Amino acid sequence: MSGISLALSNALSGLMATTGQTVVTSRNITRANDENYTREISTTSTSASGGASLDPTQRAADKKLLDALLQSTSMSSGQSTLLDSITAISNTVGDVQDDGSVAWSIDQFQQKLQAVEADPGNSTLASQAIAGAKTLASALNSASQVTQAVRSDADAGMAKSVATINDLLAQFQKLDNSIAGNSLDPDSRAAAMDSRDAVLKKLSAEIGIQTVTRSDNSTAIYTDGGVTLFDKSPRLLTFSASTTLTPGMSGAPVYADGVQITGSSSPMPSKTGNLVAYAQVRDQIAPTYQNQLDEIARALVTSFSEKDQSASPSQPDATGLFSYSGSPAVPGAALVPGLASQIKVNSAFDPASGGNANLLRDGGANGAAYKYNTLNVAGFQGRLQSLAQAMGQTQSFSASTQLPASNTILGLATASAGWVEATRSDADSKATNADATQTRTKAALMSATGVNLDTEMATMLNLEKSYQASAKVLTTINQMLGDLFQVIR
Amino acid sequence: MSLYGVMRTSASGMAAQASRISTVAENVANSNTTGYKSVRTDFSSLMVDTSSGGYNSGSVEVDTQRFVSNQGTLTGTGSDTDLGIQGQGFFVVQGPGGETVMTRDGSFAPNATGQLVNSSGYVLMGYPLSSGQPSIVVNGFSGMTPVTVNSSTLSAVPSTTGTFQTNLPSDATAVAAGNLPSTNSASATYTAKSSLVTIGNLGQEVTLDLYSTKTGPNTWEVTAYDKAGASSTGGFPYASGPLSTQTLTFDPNNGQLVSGSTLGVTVPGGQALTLDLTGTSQLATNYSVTSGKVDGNKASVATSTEIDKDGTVYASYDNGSRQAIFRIPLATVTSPDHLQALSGNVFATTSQSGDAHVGFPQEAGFGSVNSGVLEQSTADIASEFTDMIDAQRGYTANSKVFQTGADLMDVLVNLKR
Repeated sequence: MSGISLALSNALSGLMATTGQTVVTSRNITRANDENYTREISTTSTSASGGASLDPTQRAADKKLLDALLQSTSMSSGQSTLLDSITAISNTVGDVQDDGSVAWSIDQFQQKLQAVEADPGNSTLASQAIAGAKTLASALNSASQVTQAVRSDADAGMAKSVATINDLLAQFQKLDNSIAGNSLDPDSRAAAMDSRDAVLKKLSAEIGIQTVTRSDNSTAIYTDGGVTLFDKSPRLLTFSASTTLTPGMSGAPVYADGVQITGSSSPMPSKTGNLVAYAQVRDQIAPTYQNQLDEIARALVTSFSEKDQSASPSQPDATGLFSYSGSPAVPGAALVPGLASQIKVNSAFDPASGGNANLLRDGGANGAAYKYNTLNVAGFQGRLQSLAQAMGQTQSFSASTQLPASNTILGLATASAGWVEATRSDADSKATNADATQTRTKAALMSATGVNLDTEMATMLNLEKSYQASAKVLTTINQMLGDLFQVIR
Repeated sequence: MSLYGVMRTSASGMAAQASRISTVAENVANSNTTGYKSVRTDFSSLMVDTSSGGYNSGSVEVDTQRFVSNQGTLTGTGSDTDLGIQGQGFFVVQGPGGETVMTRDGSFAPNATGQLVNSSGYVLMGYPLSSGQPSIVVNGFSGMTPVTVNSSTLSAVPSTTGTFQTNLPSDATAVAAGNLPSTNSASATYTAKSSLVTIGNLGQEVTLDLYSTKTGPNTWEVTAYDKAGASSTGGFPYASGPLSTQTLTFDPNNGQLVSGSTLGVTVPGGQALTLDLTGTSQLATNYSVTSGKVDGNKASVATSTEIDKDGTVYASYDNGSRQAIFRIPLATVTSPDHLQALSGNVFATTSQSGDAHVGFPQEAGFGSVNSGVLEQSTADIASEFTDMIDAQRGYTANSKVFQTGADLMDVLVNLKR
């Protein structure tokens, strides 16, 4: 075939190829602001008859940068979740100098105790000391309550994160299978690959992932610990959320592909992402703070316990000013989980509940055998002195507080507040750094694979010119055929 | 009688030009018919015996020739089942009456039963690949069935080979012999675990759990279990012992695999699977899977059709696999230009063209089958029109000669009053 028909056919192929390229350019321009869109490149080549034919559309994808973005996204979202949770704890602790904090309450109570010691006969001062003790107990109660609320939230966060991950993996399966299956036309295929990358970005916010792309364009997903998350089919995460979490009770771990991926006993632990951050708050940070509160409470209960004062002591020690669910038995040297949430002022001491504030001076809340002020002297200082001394004495605390083992009660409370603040500021700086890295990586990925409007505009002008040229050829051929028809008449 | 001869000769000339105009008319009419091959009128002289007294004019004989072997331009259409042949050969198609003929018209589209039918109503014939590569009959059309694209279900392909390439962390702690995964004890511990989806005989997914465990310096053990037998927590102990265990040793100097490069596993309910572990390394970094792939196809529904240049028809399935279901043959004859053109863009063999012989696209003597294109008509309007003008002039010239002959005859007749 030759002659005018070939010329017509080639001019037409030019028009069609230019139209195809314009479609790609217009798609690039309209989705210029879509961060999940990868720029498409459309080129033409010469067909068998000499016309132009459109090549399959290429995506300007960059796997290395995408991997870097996935990694930094996991890091950034995990750190930001961690920071949110720690900030919730930190807000309850407040400044050591502020009203309401545990350390402040201890300090106030100590001062009031010293005031009573100086004037043991003044029952108003004694009542004030009892009021201070009540403030302290409720400060411990509320701190413990908030800590458990943070843990419960983290547990719920894990459940939500697991559900999100499973949902995303199911979405990923559909997209991945359709991409690997050659069942899509090139345009939908590019769109599916964009969607698949978007799913990966969302997934990486929840859990740190690594991806391996295979020759048929299918992708396998592994956690950053190496556990298979997706390979042809998703390995769904399993997790049983706890309805309530009490101090000392540990939440369930998350399993993927039969491997425990959160918690200290995991053989292949995940390292980054929301899920891991929640697990860290639930299993490490909040429990450690709870341990610190429990140890402060235990030290208070023990320090204010009463001993049998008879000539030949036969009764066991019993709790005094501060009581808890195990009263009157005094807790041993070991950590009692949840003590901080149970500690309260013994109602026998509390004038508001019909008690006697002078028991602080006299002792004997647990019966006559425990009475220190046996002679009922109004100026009796012995018991108050020993209590004030006990408050100021260094005691040994459980290593699970992650604080120095030997400290005073106030010292422990101050160190605890310091620990929370240090943890928070560490999380804050890590979150800031991770966020900066993520922003930079995202910018790098966008500049490598995103749409540059200037380039697209220039391409569009070029396409317009070549469309005009092809159209001009068509007009000319039409003219020539017209001339031929003129001859026939 | 040379005057009568003049009139007869010019009449034959007019008839010949009329025939030429007819071919032009057919060509112009079919200038947009897919796979149409243009026809041309050739003239040859026919002489009569001439006596010495005067010249007896001969006449012109008409012969039409169709240029079947001319290649038409392939133009893109966008439909995957539109086919165009680049090079020699014809599609073998079956007409409504069951007759098998050849065509270049590849405007096929699936009908209600999934058969590929072209715009003229002819059904594309091919060899089914369901029982392996077809044995073709070179000089006939037997063994061909209509190519059916949507009703074919995938017969599942069980997994037989795969690769599993990882980096094993060299700084991991070695596990005591009594606690190795190969013992299948409840207290078994491992360094790392991955799982691979394999395909069983019936196309079912069988997931294998692969445990990599350090047993000592530079020695590792890879153990495969059937995930279906895992305990309720997803781990040890499994319902039955390990499917396979392989010991891997690494070069302490560069961390590369020295021995144990394959893991043979019999997939439960499937075939013997050879996993290639080549490329596995033992370096001081995290466990990571660098390549994990297993062949095999599970049974699933066909979602689209793809036709390769060599005529293989593939069905793409929703699980990402594709399978060859038909092969489209091409037929050709020794002299394509002598084929008889029939209605519907089809050609039949004649004694002059020679018998059809069948082969596959891209084999010697056959062209390639292109998907998504159609072969345009070889009729070119411009050359047809110039032919037409030429024929018109020729017809007019002949008619003038005839008229002159008739006038002379008139003169002769009028001699006697």
